[in-house]
Amino acid sequence: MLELGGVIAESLAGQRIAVTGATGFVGTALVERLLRGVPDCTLVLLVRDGKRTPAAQRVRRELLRNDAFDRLRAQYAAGSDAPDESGESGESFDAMCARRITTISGDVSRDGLGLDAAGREQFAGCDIVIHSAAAVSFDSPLDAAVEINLLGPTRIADLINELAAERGAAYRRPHLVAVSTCYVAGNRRGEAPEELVSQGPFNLGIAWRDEVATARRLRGEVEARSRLPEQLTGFRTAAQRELGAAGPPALAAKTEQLRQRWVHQQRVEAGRARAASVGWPDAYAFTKALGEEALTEVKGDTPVSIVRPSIIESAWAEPHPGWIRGFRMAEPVILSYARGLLREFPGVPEGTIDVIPVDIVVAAIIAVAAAGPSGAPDIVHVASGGINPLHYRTLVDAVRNYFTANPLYDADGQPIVVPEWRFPGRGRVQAQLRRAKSALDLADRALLTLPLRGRRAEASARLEAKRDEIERALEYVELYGLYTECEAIYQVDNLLTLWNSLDAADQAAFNFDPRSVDWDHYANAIHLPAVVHHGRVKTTPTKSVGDRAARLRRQVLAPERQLAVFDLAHTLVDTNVVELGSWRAIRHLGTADRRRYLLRSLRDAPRLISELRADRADFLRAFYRRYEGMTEADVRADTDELLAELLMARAFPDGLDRVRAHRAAGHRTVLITGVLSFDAAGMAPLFDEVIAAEMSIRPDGTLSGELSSVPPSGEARAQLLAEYATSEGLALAETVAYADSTSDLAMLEAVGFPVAVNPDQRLAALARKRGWLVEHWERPKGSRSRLVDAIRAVSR
Amino acid sequence: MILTVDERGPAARFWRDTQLRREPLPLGSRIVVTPEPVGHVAAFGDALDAALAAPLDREPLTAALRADMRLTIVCSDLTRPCPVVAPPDPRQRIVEAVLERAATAGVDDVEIIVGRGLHRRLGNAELLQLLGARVVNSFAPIDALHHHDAVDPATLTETATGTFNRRVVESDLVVVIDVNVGDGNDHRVGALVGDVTTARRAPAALPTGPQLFHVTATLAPGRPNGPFDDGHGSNPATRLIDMLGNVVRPLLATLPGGAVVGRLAPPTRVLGVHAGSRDAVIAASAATLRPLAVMPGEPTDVMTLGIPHTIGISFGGRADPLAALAGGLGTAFTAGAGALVRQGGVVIVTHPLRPRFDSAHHPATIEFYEHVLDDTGLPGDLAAVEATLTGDDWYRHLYRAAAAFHAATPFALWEALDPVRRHAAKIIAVGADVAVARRLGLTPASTLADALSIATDVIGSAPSITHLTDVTTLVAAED
Repeated sequence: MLELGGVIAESLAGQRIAVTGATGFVGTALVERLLRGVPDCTLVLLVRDGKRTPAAQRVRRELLRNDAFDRLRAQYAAGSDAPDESGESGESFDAMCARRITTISGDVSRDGLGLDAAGREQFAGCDIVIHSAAAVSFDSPLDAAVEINLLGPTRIADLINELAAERGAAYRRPHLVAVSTCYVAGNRRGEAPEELVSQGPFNLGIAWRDEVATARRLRGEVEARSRLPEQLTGFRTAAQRELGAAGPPALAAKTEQLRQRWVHQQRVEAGRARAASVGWPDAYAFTKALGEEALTEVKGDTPVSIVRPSIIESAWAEPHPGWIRGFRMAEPVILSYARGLLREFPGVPEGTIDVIPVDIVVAAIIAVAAAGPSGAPDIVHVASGGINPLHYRTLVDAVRNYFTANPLYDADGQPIVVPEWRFPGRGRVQAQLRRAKSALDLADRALLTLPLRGRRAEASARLEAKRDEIERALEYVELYGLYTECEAIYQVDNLLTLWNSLDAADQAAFNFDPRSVDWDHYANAIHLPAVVHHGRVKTTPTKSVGDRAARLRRQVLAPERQLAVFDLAHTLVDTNVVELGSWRAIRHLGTADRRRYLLRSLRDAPRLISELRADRADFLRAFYRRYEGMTEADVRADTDELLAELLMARAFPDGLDRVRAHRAAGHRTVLITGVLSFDAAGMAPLFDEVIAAEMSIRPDGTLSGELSSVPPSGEARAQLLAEYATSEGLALAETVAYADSTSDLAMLEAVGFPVAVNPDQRLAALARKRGWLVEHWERPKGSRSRLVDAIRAVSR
Repeated sequence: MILTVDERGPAARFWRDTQLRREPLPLGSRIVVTPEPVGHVAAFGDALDAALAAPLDREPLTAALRADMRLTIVCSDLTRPCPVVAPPDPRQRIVEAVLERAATAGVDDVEIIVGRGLHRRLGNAELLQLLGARVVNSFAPIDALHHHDAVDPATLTETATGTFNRRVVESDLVVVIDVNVGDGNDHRVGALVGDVTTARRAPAALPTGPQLFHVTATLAPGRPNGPFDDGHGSNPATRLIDMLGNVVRPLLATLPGGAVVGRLAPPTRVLGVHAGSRDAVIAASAATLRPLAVMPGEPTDVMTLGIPHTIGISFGGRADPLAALAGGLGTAFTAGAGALVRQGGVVIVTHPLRPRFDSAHHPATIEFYEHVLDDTGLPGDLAAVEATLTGDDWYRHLYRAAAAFHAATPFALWEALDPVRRHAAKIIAVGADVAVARRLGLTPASTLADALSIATDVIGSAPSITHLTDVTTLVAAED
């Protein structure tokens, strides 16, 4: 039984406490609480090195700069002469942290925790180890969840065992406090006691070592399967569908990205399926449950306590009400509802949703640590369902009322009305969402086959965004739906015993009594405002879109920009290579030949379109064969008329205006186009430089129909631009690029200020996601339609 | 012809872009309609031969032609205020007649110059429309058919009276061919001026040196529906034609310029053809038109005017608001309409003034409208702005190589409205885009009745009104 040997702060005074998962939600609150509430303890934080940031830097950046520490920091700043808690007058917050915190670089998913000798030494000196590192995401890949959740605790126990073996009697085993979850109890109804699952009636006798072995094998198998030729072809096709003719490097990168995403999904799916098959809601709870079993098996003489919180949410009071870190389970669901995306969420209205504020969890962990290793490993539930239940209906009403009174606003500055909640069954919601998704999928695919541009393409991009939202909603329902339907009641006898053993001072300083939470107040005044604040959503009725575009427009025209690059077709003029070529071709033909040419073009159109979609450069080469045999003199003589009749008649005045604005701002302006140089010649005076496709001319003065170099399209365009910028000493970071299609993606990605002009659907979707400036340039209203032009061209 | 509105009508017909609508005017209001010409030239060929054989103040053309001479034919362009002309264009017939005589005389060195001044180049199809296939196909391939270029130093030369087209100055004989509808435009020698300022401010300047031989066909001013039109539209047939026109015209307006419209147009009525010295031809042509001029009578408080879609400068394209206003109201004032409304009165025009621009023909107007005429009003130093725009390489390039009007055009159009601004206390635009009207310095109104009530502070509550049906109607000078 747990008994406290004295007041909490006193019993932990002088103790050296190791903490894993310090940069996580619980870990952050725990470190803060220990520093503030237990002034005489020191901490050893076991933190993973980041990709670029070493562990110690991560602690400074990701942990100590969190607003959880504001309160503590303020205490040091305000009472710098005589801080009442630090004991040493004049010490700054940073100095206190440096004195009390030691960071060691390590990783619970590696054997020996990945510690070096120094780290190992630090670890060996600890009196208490609090293990809060976990893969908490409900959709972690199975193998990752196994490495961290299942094997993490055993690796700590193994290390302690090793140290004990090495050092013999000189080594005192630390008290290991492992943070787990109530949901290890699995999908069950009724009382869930504070005991190991294997001790209860639902023990399936799963061998955790087998699970580890198969999960590790699974990863290799999925990786192998993803590389089968038919799979790879599928990824490539999907990449092409998404990017269009973006050029081989971009397509390759996208294909690989899709492959990795697929592998990830397979691993996630494997976790979900395995957990469901043996009665757990997801891979997280499943691996945590096995982790407890494994820890119990391997701990040897190490004293172990397991703390099992339920769904941890924002703080009730400490360090300040509503404090939260990262997006947890309920927040995305709540915000999706408030944004009107998620119209229904499954659940039983009278069911209990077991939420527990983070500060209560942290206080309980500290109390358990302070109680010390006395006797058998104890399991403590930190949950509210058994003694102070929050009913699903109460939560839903609170959410609905809150967002009715404090609505979020859409992009147009209109308040979003939250829908009525009807507590449907999970199956129905899922079916609804799936139907909506497949309808949108179909519409999306149908739209992608249409040659839409500009505002219409943006509408299609919005459709795609909508589909993504529904996809996410569906994921939420699948992931979290089980939790709202869970009817297990987690018993908190051990927790209450511990609570009752505290004196009044400790109860005041380390409140972990779930009965103290007033749910109504918590939902309305603490949690929902915190979620809204944290979610950075629109809570004021302002129109933001226009402001943003105006700001981006000012940025692209700022004097410090150096270079402005423009595509021609569809960016500055509403015409294309085919039209230009056809204009040339039929120019000197009689009416009958013009009709014949038109018919031939119509016949060739499907082939041309498929070539265009596959690869820009190949298409241009194929199309430019049609110029073969024209004389250079003829072609040059027609340039002026081409400029007048096609280019200028189809120009976007706002686009030309922008080129001139860049020139006026002192930027170098460059036209970079797959159009042939003599077709683009008329536009040349508008720019400082023209980079166009060059066709070789035969000695007899006729065009060869062959390009003398790679046409400036697709990824070649990015390359040419980079070369140009380098040779002219201009910075790509200070370059603005205007283009209309995903085939220009490489160029747009290469510059500091990409602008999507009248984007096609794929580019519209990308620009939207990446927050690029989107311009809608149009021909002047009332201009002649292309159909009339076409009829005129043939009939003249 | 001036009609007075009484209980039986007539209703006033108002152009509003492609639409011709009837609006009731208060009793006693006057409606000005172009009188039907009494007679016209039935056989154009004969009249032309006669004019060339017996020119005014000049020896006959055949006598002036020598085999070893340098002959240049200057022809005005299509973008002039002019009724829609059915093919063949009278200018084509004049050019052909001159070429025939030159061939007979054995003249080898012949060039044709389209005297476009600051106007745009004509496209191939338009050249065919103006000069016919025979002329174009024989002259274009041998590089003897050019557009005048007012900014290309290589084709210009200095003379005592200014900078002019080099070929013109160095020619022995220059035949200047034009049409006249009495819109007050000079007889196109100014179209050959080489420096922009002169071209814009003193277009009547003449090159010294070559002998000038003018040939001008005088055309009957247009009526909304040609010869089927009874002028005031009280005839049921005219009403029907008006209605059909309202349906057909918007469709025709989307088609390329005069090509199709020209084929559908009624034959042009030529009132006279004159040849000879410039002054004599101008006088003779004006005399031909004089019977068609209406006597203004006592000026009224208000003049109303509908602006149609076919106005020279927007030929082959879409009329932007500035072109519509200058081409409509500006042209009417040039034709003498100022005599119909008292100084300090109110001018009311009907036109949608949609913010639609022609990117190929009028790129500088777009910049002028967007950046010069912004909502803060005109810049104080308009001349400096004009110098910047006309000096802009891109606009010069578009004028020279593409189909753009010179960048001075929007300034010229803006200035063409100066007489109206000086004359009228207020210009009200009915049914116009409100923002565009304001930017152009007009007062917007939604209906004619609104316009009249807006005008009450200037002209009182019972103003006298004159309605001008056609912008090209000639109004006789008061003396």
